[in-house]
Amino acid sequence: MTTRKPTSKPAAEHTSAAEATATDEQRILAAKFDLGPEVDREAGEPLPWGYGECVIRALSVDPGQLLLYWEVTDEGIDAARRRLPASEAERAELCLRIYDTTGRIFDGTNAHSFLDVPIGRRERQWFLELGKPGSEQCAEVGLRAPGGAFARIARSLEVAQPRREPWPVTTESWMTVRPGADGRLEIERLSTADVLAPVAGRPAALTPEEIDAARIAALEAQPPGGGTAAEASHPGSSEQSQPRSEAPWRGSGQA
Amino acid sequence: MASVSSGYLSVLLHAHLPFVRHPEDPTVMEQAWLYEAITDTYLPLLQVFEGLHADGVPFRCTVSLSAPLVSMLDDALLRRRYESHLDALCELASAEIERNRDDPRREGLARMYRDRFASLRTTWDCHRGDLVGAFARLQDSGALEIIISTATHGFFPSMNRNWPAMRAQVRVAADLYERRFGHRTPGMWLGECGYVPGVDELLAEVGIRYFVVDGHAVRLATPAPRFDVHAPIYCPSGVAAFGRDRESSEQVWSALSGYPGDPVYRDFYRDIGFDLPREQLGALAHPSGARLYTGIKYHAITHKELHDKELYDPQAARGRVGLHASHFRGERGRQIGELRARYGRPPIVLAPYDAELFGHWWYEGPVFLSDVFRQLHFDQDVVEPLTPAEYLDRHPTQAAATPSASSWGRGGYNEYWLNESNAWIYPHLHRAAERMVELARSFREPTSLERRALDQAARELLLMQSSDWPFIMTTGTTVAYAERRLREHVHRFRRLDEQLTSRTIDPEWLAGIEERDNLFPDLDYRVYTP
Repeated sequence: MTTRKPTSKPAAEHTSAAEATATDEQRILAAKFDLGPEVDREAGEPLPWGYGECVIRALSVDPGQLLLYWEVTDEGIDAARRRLPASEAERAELCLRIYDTTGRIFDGTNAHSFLDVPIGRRERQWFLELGKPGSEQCAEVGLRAPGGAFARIARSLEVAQPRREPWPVTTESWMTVRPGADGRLEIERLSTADVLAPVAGRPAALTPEEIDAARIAALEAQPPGGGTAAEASHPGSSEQSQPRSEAPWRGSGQA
Repeated sequence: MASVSSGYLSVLLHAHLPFVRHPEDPTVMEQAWLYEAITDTYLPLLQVFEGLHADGVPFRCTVSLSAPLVSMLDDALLRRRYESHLDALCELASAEIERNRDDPRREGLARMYRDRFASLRTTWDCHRGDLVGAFARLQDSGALEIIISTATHGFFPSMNRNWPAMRAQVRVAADLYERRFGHRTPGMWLGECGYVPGVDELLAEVGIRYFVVDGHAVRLATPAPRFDVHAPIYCPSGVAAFGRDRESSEQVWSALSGYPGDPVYRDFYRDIGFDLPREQLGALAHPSGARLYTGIKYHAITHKELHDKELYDPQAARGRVGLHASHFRGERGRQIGELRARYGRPPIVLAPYDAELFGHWWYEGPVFLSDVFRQLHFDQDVVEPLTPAEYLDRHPTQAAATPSASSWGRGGYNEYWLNESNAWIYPHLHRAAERMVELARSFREPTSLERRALDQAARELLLMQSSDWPFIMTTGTTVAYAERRLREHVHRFRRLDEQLTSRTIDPEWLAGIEERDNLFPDLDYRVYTP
């Protein structure tokens, strides 16, 4: 079992009842593949042990755990050994190095921290419990010399670990989306300030439904063939209609 | 009703099976998955929907037909084999009537099955075996909203951010839908609801308006949504993510408190396929001697054990269905009323389920759905059934947020598809996907033979990416078959890759695998071009 102990206790995401339901659900989902007692059958020709390339890949299993798998060739190991100090190269060992790259464009040197995991030549995968929900991780496989020098053989893509806790700050933004005639989505971005900010004569907080209703009223109020009349004022507002580009709920917006 | 309802209930039934087609061997046991699902779920649901439509009940339900399932239901060979299977069921039921002539209760149950199978045969014949067309007609008449899944139900969180490969899963399915149904799909079901940020961009590229995620994906979105899962959120691309409502899910899925586990309902496991001598099973006896489910079951759940079960009482079960439907309807009314008061806007309760839950696992499930929709229409006005696309039409302004990476699997993330039973598959899947992108980039002007090989390589890649294989390896049901299928597709892909690279394509071998793995006949390998 290639799993390290958790370094921190993850917050409970699901209640025990929800977990039990999820287990029942998986059992019921499995029933559609249930044909009765399994009989002995061939499982097909074996697949190649490797593809003769140096590679490491990292996948998120859950917010605290990564799956790492890798392949290294003898040539790749030799090339890495040649990049190490000559006095230590022969004693260098294969090693996984997992970088915490949260919020950074990783260039190989600017991680917050890293964790080294020595591995054997015949090992191919690890389930690694990092206990860092919400972080970004990048893994390398290489040779680590006794003095600490590390020669990379391969690097994975960055993996973003999901959070276990809700986003702490609610800075809302809003969109109005409609299907366009060309099949693409037509998007209008709004900001919370535009949607919900109090304006003289306007209710303190407009719901999205009220915004939609105001838009429909504005469209219906437009003279036939278009014209200069733009968006209607909000329900209850004493303001006159304003040109479309200056309508209160169309701020600069942000996604 | 729209003017007085407090909120919306959106029932979504996701129908999916992996692509299983063995023209070379009609006895491969896993072909029974399709036969059972058609008999127990798809035909009964079709009957329910047609009945509701005929009675003028505006039930507004969404059905997700996965791309592999559409391919199998449209396949002439599989349709013929299913007809033979259904005929064998009818014969077996008739034989059971005779065998149980001295046991009035069992004879009555056998008659129930004979009548049921005859009714299914009538519906099948009425639609000439074209179930996809039947569902399409319901959509065209405004009764249903149909969406499609990703091409082979690939699990995006496991695809190592290979965006061209993920894009191919989306586009192949979207193209299939448009060819089959005549317009764009409004929504797409991601395999296992597996979402990673950025997937929505792929959906937006083909004009998809919405997808479904598990509830925690919305609750953990960035930023946190104001209305929990009771309103969708717009991803940065403008595609809406609807979050699964946990309360309505638990009432159906939970073994402790959910409806399907009621003791009077028909038991799934006690089947005459295991209880009777093989010689009494007729054409449904498997030639290998292996015991399989027939679908004829005489016992009620009664308790958790397999022995000492009560005989099934259809009338008692029917009565219980009505009570459960009433309970479900009442609970949704209560829930929606509370949410409306809390949020000040009409909430949507999205209730997605595996379609095969209804009928295959829960025998009475289709009748439950019928009762629920009838009660919603005739007995109350708090809850309005609505599809996700209709909701977006009515309420196009929503909060913008990025859902959390997630799935609807146990634990809410990827463990079911990434664990020690199945992790060994991913080096092969990832390498094949990378090679397919390289092949698409390399072959700009292939010969016709090369084009066929490239298209077939794309099919083999898609087939190996089915989320069902690692799922089955985790659950331990038909592991040997799942492993064999995966290995076969990897081997075929590798051989096609070698032949393309060396320009030595074997046309006879290619024709053979084209015939066997024949889904997506219009597939164009260039969908993998980055």
